[in-house]
Amino acid sequence: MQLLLLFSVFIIATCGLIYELVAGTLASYLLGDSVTQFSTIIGLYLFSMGIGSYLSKFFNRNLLAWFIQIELLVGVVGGISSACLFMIFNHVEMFRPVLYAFVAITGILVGVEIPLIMRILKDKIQFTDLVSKVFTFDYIGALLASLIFPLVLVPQLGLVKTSFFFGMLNVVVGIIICYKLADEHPWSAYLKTSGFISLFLLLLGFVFSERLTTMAEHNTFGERIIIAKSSPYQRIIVTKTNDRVKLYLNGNLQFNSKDEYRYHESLVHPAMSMLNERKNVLILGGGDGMAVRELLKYKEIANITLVDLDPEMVKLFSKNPLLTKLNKNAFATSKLKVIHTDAFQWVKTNQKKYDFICIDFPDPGNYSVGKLYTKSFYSEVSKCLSDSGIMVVQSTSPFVALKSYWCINKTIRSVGFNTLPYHIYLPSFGDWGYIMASKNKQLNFKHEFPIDLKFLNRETFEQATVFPKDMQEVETLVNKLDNQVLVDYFETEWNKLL
Amino acid sequence: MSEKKQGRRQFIITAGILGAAALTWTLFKKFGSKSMHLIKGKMINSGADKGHLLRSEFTRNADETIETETLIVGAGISALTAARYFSKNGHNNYVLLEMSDEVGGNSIGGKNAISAYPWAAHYLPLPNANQPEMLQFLEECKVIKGYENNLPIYNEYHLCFEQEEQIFMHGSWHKGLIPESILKPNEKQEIKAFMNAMNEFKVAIGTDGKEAFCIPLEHSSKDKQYTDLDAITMKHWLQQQGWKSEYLNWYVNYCCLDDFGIPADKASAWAGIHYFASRKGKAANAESHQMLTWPEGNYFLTKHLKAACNGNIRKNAMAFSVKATETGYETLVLDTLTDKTTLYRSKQMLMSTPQFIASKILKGKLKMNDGFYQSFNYYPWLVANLTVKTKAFSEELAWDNVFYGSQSLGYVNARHQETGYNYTDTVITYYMPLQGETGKAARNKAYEMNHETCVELVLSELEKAHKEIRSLIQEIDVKIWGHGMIAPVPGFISSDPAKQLNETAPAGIQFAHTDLSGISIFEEAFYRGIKAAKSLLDNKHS
Repeated sequence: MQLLLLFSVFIIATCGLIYELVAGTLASYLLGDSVTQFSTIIGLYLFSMGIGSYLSKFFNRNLLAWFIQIELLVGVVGGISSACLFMIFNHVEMFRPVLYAFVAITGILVGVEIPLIMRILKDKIQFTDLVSKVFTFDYIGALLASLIFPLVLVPQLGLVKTSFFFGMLNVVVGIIICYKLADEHPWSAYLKTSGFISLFLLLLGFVFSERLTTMAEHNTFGERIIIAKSSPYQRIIVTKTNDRVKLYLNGNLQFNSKDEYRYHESLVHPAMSMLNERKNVLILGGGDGMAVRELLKYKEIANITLVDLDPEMVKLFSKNPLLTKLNKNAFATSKLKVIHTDAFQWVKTNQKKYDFICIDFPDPGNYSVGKLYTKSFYSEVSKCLSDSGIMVVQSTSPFVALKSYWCINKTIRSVGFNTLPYHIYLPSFGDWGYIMASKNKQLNFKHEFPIDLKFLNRETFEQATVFPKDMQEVETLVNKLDNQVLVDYFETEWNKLL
Repeated sequence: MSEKKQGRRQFIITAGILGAAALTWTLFKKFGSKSMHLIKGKMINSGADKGHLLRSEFTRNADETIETETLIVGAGISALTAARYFSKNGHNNYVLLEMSDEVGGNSIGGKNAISAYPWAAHYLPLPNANQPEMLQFLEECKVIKGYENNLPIYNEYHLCFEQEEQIFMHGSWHKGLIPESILKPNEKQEIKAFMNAMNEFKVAIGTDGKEAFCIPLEHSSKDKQYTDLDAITMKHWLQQQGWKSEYLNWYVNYCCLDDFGIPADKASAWAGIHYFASRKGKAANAESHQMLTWPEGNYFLTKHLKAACNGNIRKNAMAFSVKATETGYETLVLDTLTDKTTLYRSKQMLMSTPQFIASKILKGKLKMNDGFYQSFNYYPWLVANLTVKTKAFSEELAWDNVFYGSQSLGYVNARHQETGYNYTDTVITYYMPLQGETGKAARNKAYEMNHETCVELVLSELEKAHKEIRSLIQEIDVKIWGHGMIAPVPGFISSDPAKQLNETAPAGIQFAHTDLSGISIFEEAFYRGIKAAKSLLDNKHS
């Protein structure tokens, strides 16, 4: 009896810690910031164990039967925990409460178990011996768990299978104790039945967990998510695979750290090299700070105004060490003024003139974003641009979305701009296009590119202005608020690709 | 304690612990969002309670007398247009009386912390070129920015943004009102044939050389080939054409409800076709089918009309008796706030109330026979403004969001014309023309509805398309329009009620209301207002 019960302490300890580790890992996948996640989860778990220990004093009779009962419960709750959490992976607002509920419930149940077992054994073993044995097994279990979790379980079984597996372990131990020690007990039949039902359910979960995980992974780009935030405006996901960091907004890739320098150098430097006056710069969108990073290569820039709707983006890219490393801590510069408001509203009311306006919005995939590519929008932007100033617009892929690209060009021209379309190759995105625009007839080089660029030089840019036969300008309508043809072009063209 | 009992207790406790979380969750989901989520909001008074004073022979003695050159009774679009015309043409000695506390008739709106929103009419089709006064007015409102090749250039912030319409059909949303991709071949064929027929009517000219379907209505051709269409219902006409497909019938019915508040089997075919064949507006920067719209709907236009005549408006002023005298007119008016009665003596009268009101307040020879007034049918409307989180809508909202197969007209998004990239709350205006055997039956039913029954009626439909909407609603305000708008039942338009009135009316009184046209649209009200004002000015000078 002794040995079996002590063994079960060992199992409970191992399982309890495993559930906690699973929860911590899932939380840091989804919510990011693993230090906070692990520390809050461990804290809550230990606190809940305390509650459980306190509650244990209310169990006065049928101790062994209650012990088995709780053992089964730990198995079921812990076993299904990661599957449940996986299933609500995409609902961040629900994730936290459910996560903490699971941690708290397992914590309380495990917390009840240890005092219970000590009381069951108190007549059989001397007190000093009892305390030493129970806690020895408890801590050995903890050690075992913390070692096999990262080394064996996660790589071999994955998170969901691990939970189900340990859930079954809990239940099996419960059933064995029931047969060995409580066979005569009045609750025995009930305990056995519920034990086997639990076991069966967990087994089902274990077998079908494969399907669950692939579902969840499919939802989450098959990459390791290190940050997932839902702002009122969008869902921000940052993933990291080896040394590659990727940013997704509403599921659409925005950059890949491997080649984003190509994109941002091409967004900023061609226009800068053609400007005489380069003091005041306006960035619309670009909450990742990468364009600011490129702009800071020019000493003569006095002011940068960045208008991005989403404070959450800017907060991430000015605080998270991984991300500030990417933008070279661009948000720390005193030249920068960040405004969180809608870009259209802002340009409508802005009075100041800028030498360079850099427009880096998401692709026109829906009507809300589509408004920021309309004739009305560009005519408002035009009022913010100095007479000798230049505007650059990221304009999706002229290879994939030929009509969309030339529609943006035509729309910009329709408000009286002279344009210079150019495109570059981005390994992560394919062929990518920009439209440069000014109120002057001529767009000529006036300055050399900064020397520390990794991608652009004079020759590369000259090449970029050449469009091969399959990307030549096509006839399109002008994109207006009352027709939003660009969204239709864009949808049709990108859907063809998928 | 027996073993059995203990076992049961055991079971109950276990089930309790196991199910606690699940139960809490389900309870929260179910009751937290439904029964326990009390929906705030109120019934907005449409002035019916005051108007109902007129049902019985209401009478009071005057506390004071006011003399004015011209008295305008009613403050809908016709009245405001006329008043504006007076002011613009140097005639300021007039008073405009409105029974409720807001002018604008069917073009009023409201406003809350989230957005301005309409309470009734919410758009204006591009006006036809034969309405120069209208175009001039729109220029004044900065809706028209200028002209190019004689065509108006519309302010692009006032032209309805894309996406204009979407329809909830077979369980999902589709772009446009006519979702070609999911229609059956015969449905597609019929809708195409129908549209072709409408386009032919659009350019058709009668034997008298006039447009077959025109705005204003009275400029339409009197060619029997077309006027005969007023003898049958729209549904009957569709049957005559052999068009039976479910979709086309729904679509035409929807359009009748939208413009007249009555279904295709009650609306005159002439009126039904007029809806499609009378809009011929042209623009330098828009197509003729496009609309002009504002967050507050046509209240935007009301505000501009009002600005021109603000000083002459008296609100909460209920005229209850209008008599002709030797030298002009005497009108008794109750101020519903102070309970004071004023006698207005005027040389001229502009009656701009709907005829069901006129029938109660016109006295003596001014009053027409009962048969005349009984030919006017009005149907009630329910309009609800819902303040709601945009999270409730999984898809992007269109301006006009319509439910296929429904008796309602769907809802419009008040924030559609915002250039903003994204917002988390909005106001949607839900329109439901209420049906019944007769307008009166429908009206009696409508007046019995309270806030809760209205809310449930609205939500029963919205929840089909937006499952989570109930818990995401902050407020629903509801307005019941008892006499929503004039119903162009067969024969009514051809009876030419305006002509009947003018033939019997003495000099110095004019009538201007869209119920005299038979179709309640802004352009028609605007036309009637100006026509009446011109005639009164001529009368004054002669």
